Amino acid sequence: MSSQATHPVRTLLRPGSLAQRITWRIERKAALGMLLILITVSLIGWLYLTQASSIAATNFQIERLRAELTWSNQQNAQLELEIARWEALPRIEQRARELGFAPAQQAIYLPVADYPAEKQESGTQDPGNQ
Amino acid sequence: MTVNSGSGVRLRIITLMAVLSAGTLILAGQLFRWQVLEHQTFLALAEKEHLAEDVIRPHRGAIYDRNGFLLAADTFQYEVSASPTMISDPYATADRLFPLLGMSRAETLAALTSDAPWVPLAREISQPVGETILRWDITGIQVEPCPRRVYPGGTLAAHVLGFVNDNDRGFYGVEGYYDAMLRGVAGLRQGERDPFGYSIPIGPGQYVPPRQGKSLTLTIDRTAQYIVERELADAVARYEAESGSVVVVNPETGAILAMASWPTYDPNSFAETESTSFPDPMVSEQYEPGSVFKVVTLAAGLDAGAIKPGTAIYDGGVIEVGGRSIYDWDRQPHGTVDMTTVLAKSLNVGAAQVAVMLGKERFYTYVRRFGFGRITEVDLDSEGPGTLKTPGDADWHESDLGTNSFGQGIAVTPLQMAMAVATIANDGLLMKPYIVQQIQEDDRALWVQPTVVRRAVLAQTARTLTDMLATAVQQETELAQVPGYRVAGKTGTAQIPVPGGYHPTLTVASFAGFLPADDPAFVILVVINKPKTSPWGNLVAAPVFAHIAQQLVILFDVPPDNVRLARLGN
Repeated sequence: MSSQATHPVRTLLRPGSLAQRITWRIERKAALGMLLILITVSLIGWLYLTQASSIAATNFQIERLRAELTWSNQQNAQLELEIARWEALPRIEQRARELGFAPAQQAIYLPVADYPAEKQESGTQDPGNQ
Repeated sequence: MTVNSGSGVRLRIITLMAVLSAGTLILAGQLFRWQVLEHQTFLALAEKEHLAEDVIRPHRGAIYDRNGFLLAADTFQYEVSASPTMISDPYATADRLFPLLGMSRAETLAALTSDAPWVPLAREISQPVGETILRWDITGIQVEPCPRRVYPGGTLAAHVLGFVNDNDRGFYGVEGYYDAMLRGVAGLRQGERDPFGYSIPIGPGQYVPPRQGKSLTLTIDRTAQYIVERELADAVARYEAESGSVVVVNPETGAILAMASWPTYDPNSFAETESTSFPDPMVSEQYEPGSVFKVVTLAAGLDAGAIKPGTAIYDGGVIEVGGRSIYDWDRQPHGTVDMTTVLAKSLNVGAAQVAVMLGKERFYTYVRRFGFGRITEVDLDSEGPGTLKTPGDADWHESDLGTNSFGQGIAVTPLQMAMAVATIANDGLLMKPYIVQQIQEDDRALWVQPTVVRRAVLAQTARTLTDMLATAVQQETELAQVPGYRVAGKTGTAQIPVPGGYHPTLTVASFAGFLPADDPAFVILVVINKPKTSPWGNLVAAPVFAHIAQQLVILFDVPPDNVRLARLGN
């Protein structure tokens, strides 16, 4: 009975068993350290990949927007040219004639009573001054 | 024996060590050379393998008239090319492409099956067609957008505008003068590429955005330009002339409102045009101005106090200056005449007498003051200075004083002559002519301010001469008159110099004038070269002046003299 009761103590005090337990503890610490390192590396890797992926996505978006801007500018220039073609004077003249208009030969100025006089040195519009 | 054997082994070992050491040294030396000395060279080579540079072409600035109407702008077309080795099914590809590219099927197939690594297929492909081929996304077919300069007005203001070639280089006119400003600065996209040429978005690289070209707003009014070009073309046809030029200037500022030369060309198709048509005769060609130059001679005489409007001279129909006889245009004596009559009847003898009264020093000083003999510095490409011989020059002769006084033996550009007349219209101040009134970059606009070159004559001299010119038009140049407006101006009929003298029949007919005479809104110079129906300026150029002026007073809202003066009098 007593021998049975003392067995665990003896077992505990056995040098070999203690060494094993110390080794196990060290291995457990090492494993935990390794795990920690692994988690840290994974976290850094995950962060890097997230960042890289975000940068890549943003870069793709910038490229797409630049291309869109170029395309819009091209379309804008094209429309501006289209307007200019429609506004071409020979076309306007032809259309005006079709509508029954004729070139003005003379401008008639009508006097307006009590109209405020223009007190300026030049009575003419200056076509070269902007 | 043992000793000998041992020393032999040692020798071999030493030899081997020496050889290995030498080899190691050579390798280390090479490594040092590659890694240290030629580091940059190899780095550049390595970078070249995976780094790519794209030059980003800037957008060329547009050109507008003074009211904002577009005169020149870039549009986009497409260039289609092929890399035959990358095309999996050249037959099917040729079938799809050839109807769109304007090529035959055989031509297209020959290009797509050639051994060349790259072949151009078609240029100047329209936007819809280019975008259709882009959408098909055929491997081995490249579709590149390329800008092309377009002038929506066609021939309108062709000489003023110039043109742009396929390499985005501007030539002549505004395109040539402002080329660097219009072109902008190219940008750069640099970065790492994968083996297929696609950019790696997280790799090192840089993006330098292009600086877009600046847009220009001209002083030209496109409606005035249209009127001037139409009238000029009509006149050249009507008088069976070889060519002609017209310029309209605001005398107060020097702003050019319209400027045209005939024949002209379409800058949209400059490649099919003779290169002799490109220079603007208004600034590049010179002519003998003839009697229009009497404006300068009489201005000089009045300003120097040598003559007054009523100064009487005797015109016997001929005068000798420097040993050379100078005749009036009709070779008839006109008796005693005043200076207004000298202008009205355009008497060469009278003008020569004024020059003699002034003396050569004073005469040529005034000629230079009016801007002759040097460029006007107008902002147009290829401007010439004209030809002015002055005392001291090897080819100047005493008789030149007499002939120069009525515009013979001196060569000017039409713009120089117009600016000289504009000086009289502007109270004696010579302005620098200009054609660009605003330069625009992004949201900033720079306005060009008028520049006074110098005072050529006193304001009183200019006003007196204006009055004389108006009287001269009233008396002798009926065809230049504009109903309701007092016109000041001078006709010119100049003989054309040929080797050994002057052409017996051909002339340059011209008229320079302005209105309203007391408050000029614009100056118009009309030059018609070699008219066949009549050689005279008063019959050929004066009516063109009147036709143009009649339309411009309506366009620029210049009321008739009675309305204007009544308005001012209120």
